[in-house]
Amino acid sequence: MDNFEDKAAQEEKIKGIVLASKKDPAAFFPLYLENVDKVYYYVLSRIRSHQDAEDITAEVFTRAIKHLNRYKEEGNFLAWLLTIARNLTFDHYRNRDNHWLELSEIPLPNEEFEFDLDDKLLLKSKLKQLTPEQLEILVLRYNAGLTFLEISKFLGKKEDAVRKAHNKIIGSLRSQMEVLDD
Amino acid sequence: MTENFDKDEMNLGKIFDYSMSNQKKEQIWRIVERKNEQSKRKQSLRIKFSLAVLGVLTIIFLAVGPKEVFAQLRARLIPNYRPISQLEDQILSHVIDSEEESPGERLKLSLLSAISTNNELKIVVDVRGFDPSSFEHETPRHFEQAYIILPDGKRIDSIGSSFEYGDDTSDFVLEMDFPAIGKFDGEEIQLFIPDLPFKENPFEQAWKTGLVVEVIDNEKHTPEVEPNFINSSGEAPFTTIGAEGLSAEIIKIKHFPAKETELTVKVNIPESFRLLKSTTFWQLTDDQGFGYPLDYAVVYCENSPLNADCPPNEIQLKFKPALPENRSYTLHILRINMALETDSDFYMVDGEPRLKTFLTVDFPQDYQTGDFISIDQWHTFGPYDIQILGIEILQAREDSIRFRFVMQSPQAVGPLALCINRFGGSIGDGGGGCSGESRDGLIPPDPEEYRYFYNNATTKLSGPVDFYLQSLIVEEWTDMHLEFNLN
Repeated sequence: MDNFEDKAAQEEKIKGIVLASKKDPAAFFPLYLENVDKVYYYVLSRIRSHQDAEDITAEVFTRAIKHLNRYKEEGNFLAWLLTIARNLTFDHYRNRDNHWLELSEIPLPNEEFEFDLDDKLLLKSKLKQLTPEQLEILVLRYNAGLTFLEISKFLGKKEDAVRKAHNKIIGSLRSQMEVLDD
Repeated sequence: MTENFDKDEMNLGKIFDYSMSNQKKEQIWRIVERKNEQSKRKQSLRIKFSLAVLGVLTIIFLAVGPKEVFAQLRARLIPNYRPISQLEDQILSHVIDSEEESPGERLKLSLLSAISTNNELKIVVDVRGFDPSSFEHETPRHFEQAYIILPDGKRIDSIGSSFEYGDDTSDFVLEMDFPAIGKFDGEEIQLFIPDLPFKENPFEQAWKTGLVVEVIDNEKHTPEVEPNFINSSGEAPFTTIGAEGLSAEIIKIKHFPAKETELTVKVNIPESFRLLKSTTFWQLTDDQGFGYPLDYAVVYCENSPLNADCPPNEIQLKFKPALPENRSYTLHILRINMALETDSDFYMVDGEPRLKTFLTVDFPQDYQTGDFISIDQWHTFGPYDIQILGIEILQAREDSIRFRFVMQSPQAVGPLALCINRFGGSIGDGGGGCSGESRDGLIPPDPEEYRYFYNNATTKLSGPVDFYLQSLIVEEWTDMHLEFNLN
């Protein structure tokens, strides 16, 4: 019930900001602050260039403000932003001039997490082995916090298929870490 | 570390948590604000310009008379209202650039394209080199529309125009529509632009240019295409799996400047398969780093073997507006989907239609949920092999059964869709059904993963049961790049 109420309150808040932003784009700033980290991280995880990720993130919010009337109130606002981001990264995806970051340059994992340095490096190396599609699922799930249903809508796939793909990735990561631990 | 994973997968939430600096957030927001300002200004100008055009149209409406205007509208809206001539598409060409001196401005106008069809004439001109503030006027001004003078001296006025900004605010593209002009092959017509949507008319005299009419020769506008196949470099985001015997080529490019570009791609696949016309994992990019998502391209040739205009292994892509010229393009084909051509002829048994039996499984008299009936058969379809390991009983009851075929393949094939051979799903006194488990499609298949195909029946099966092959889908992950130039 709490969850439901939280969600309803959140939707109400978004609805208010969206309405206000249609008249004055500056009213969008709180929503920007709330989502910019996740949009930026999602873009960065797909294109792996800080400069381009900044440009694309700015474009995502520009388009979002411009097309606010296309946002459906019952939807997940972040998922909507990420959909715009995904479309923009597709354009960028195969650009020959892409500068791909070295693994050490990608801000993974969080520095404050309790893992020690070796574990973090180990995890980084495992995450690097994921395909872009696998990494996308993890980022959507664990950075953006989308549910499996939301991810499935986002990717245009069946929820069950996304759940299975996710479990497979987690299982694979887990077994690799276990082998290395042994 | 492993314990952390075991305890709670949600720890990944902490791993992926990320927060950028406030300074960077502010920096990005400033870009957003700036872009929004520009966008707002453009929108406002578009509205003003549209109002101005509307004003002009109203004047025309009043001047020409409602009767004539409605007649024109009816002619445009109702098909076959007037006879359509057999005029071919024509292209008007020759003029490249022209600079115009005007008070306070040094405008450069370039003809981008001019297309004449049996329905209309559309001329597109690029205008650049002006101060963006020239646009900012409080009240819309009535602009004098462009016009053309035909070789026979007849004047035709533009019936509408619109403009779109280019790369920056000192560059815009003006599109002008005219009624159909008829056929003037090899003759010259004159275009006059007496005014532009600025605060004040920048011209003292109308900008004038000559256009020579040429009939479009599709062959001439079909660039030579050299298909270029590149194998997986190891850096590609997708793995190439057993793309044996697969190739693709661009066999036709029809390019109508400023109007549309059509690409016809032929995909060569194994003989017994037909191409599924999905372009979800196709991408078109140019040498300047721009992408042209195929979401916006129309795959208008449907997947129908009966349609002679749509060869089964060809995909036609239409880009509207046309792709920019003088660029090199690469069509990336990352996945090709195809289906096995299965035998769809049926025959009658005791008044019931049946399809050709592909496999007969001998069900034991007695079995329990969880039992496994071994089959262990390999089947080959062109270059693809798949092994049917057996049947796993998922639910065995007195009056029903649910089971699945378990299969494996070292290649990118889906499960064999095997259904009980009673047309319409009727099984004895009961019913039944079959359904596949499609792959998620996001990731190339793992050779180790099992492929499943599900069946159920509302009667207990025992003894020999015939199955027909409904379909077999192959999702080949490739790394093909087709390159072409558009001149």
